[in-house]
Amino acid sequence: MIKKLIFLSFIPIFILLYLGSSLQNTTLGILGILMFIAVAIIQFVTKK
Amino acid sequence: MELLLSVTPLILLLFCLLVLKMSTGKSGAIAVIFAIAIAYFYFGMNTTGLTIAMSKGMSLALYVLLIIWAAVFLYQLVYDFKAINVINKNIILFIKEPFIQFLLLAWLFSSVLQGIAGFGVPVVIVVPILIHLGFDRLSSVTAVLLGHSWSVSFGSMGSSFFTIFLVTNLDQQSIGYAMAIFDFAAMIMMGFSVCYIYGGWEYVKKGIKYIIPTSLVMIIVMFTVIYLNLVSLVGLLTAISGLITMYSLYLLREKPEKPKELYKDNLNLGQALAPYISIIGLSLLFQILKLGKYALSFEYPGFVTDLGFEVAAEAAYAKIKIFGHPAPIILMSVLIGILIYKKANIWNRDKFKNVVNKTITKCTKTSISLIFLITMALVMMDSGMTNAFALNVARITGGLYPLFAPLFGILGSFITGSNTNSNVIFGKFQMSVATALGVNAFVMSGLQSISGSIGVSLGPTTILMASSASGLNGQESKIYRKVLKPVLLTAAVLGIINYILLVVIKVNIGGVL
Repeated sequence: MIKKLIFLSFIPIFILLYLGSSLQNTTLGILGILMFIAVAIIQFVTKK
Repeated sequence: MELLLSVTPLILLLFCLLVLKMSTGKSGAIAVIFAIAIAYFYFGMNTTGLTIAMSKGMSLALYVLLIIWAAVFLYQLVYDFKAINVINKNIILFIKEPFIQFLLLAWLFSSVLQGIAGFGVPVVIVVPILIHLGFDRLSSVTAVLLGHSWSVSFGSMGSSFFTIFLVTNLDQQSIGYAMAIFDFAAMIMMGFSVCYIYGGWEYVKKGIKYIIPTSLVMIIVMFTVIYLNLVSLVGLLTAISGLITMYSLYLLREKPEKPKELYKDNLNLGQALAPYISIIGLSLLFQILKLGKYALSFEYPGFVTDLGFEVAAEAAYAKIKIFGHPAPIILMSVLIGILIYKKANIWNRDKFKNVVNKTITKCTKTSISLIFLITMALVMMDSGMTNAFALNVARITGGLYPLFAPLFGILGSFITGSNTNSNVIFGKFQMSVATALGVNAFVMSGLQSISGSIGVSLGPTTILMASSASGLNGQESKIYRKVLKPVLLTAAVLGIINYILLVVIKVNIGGVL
């Protein structure tokens, strides 16, 4: 279940990063980067 | 310091995978965090650059993931409706000796598929066939990963080949000849690697009588097709000639009994093979019809890092052609398969639901790992880390650089999972180093493409596709360990050939240095 949630969380991250880069909006970009790092940390500490 | 930091994410990734034996998902997660931190704090990549690079990574991941999901879906369908059983029983009827089945499928049949479709399709089709023929899972995966790697550069209807001459701007045919010289060595090395995986040195000796004559025929065909300038067909025609040669050798040597009739169950062989034949047919059809204008792509602005590394804007990044990308083609083939199963009265709605559920379970883990790894690759490339690493190694090795040159082709494929991308990153670089050293640029560019080709067998994308297709999810470190040695050995052979051609003989392909 956690893996599915991690996978699905990439959808809003991608939207944020893409909007951040195409609209040149730093706030959206930073939000996307931080969410991505948070998901990577969750993936790293998740047992299975 | 710069050299060490530029390669830290990769060292960390390999350390987690091979030494700590962590899963690809965890290793990728930690490696991408380090790549982002190093890019931001040392290589002067600001948040704008990071946003663009990470978004590019995710759009590239989307491109690859569509193939993986479609391919696993097809495999699960063919497996659950027992079509794969019919295919395997017929292979056994035609080729009785297991060693020949293994070598022919892993080394040559997978290369024929690479010639047409590429993008991991050979792995997801041939690995399950080998496993269902009774071969060990890990051996099947590593044999196919290595076995078809020599054909990647000329495969996929020539996409990597086109890239190397586009980025270097050198004459297409002359690069082709240089590539063929290295590919001859690569095909032999990979043939023997498959034999070794099957049964150790005893089978390497046994394989000589098949591998050497087959490779000789293939290299003659390869040079001829390059001479005729049929660039898109080099990989396909070479692999087909190899397949025919080796099967003929088997018939002449072993004189097996001819099968009286083909095996059939609920499906006959034609029906069982229909989805795979459709992939080949549709791939060829869409290439002929040139329907490339129907596509989805992403647009990215260019930027410059604080250290002055320039990244160009991308007008159509990770272009997914509706009639060209493997995923829609595989899904169309799935549809053909479903129609055939309905006609043969074996269609079952519950079984199909099961196919969908298994596909989701298998692909979710793979997808997470892949997103981390591809994003890491893009952050490393766009921050100038990859470039800094290459420049530092070239500076340190100096005149001995031709010996180490294959490592860059392999590195490019290892971090991006693609021969084409490896050529994009390092093609121009290898040519520039050759010019600076005063050696033949065609040979160095040819070497880049072929070393990138064999490096694909180490690419995280391909490895994850293979682990999904074989049911070895989470055991990618085992696959890496088994694939690494033959790849490094082949790289050493390619490096020595490169050194002899460039420094000892001072070969002059293309008429210029």
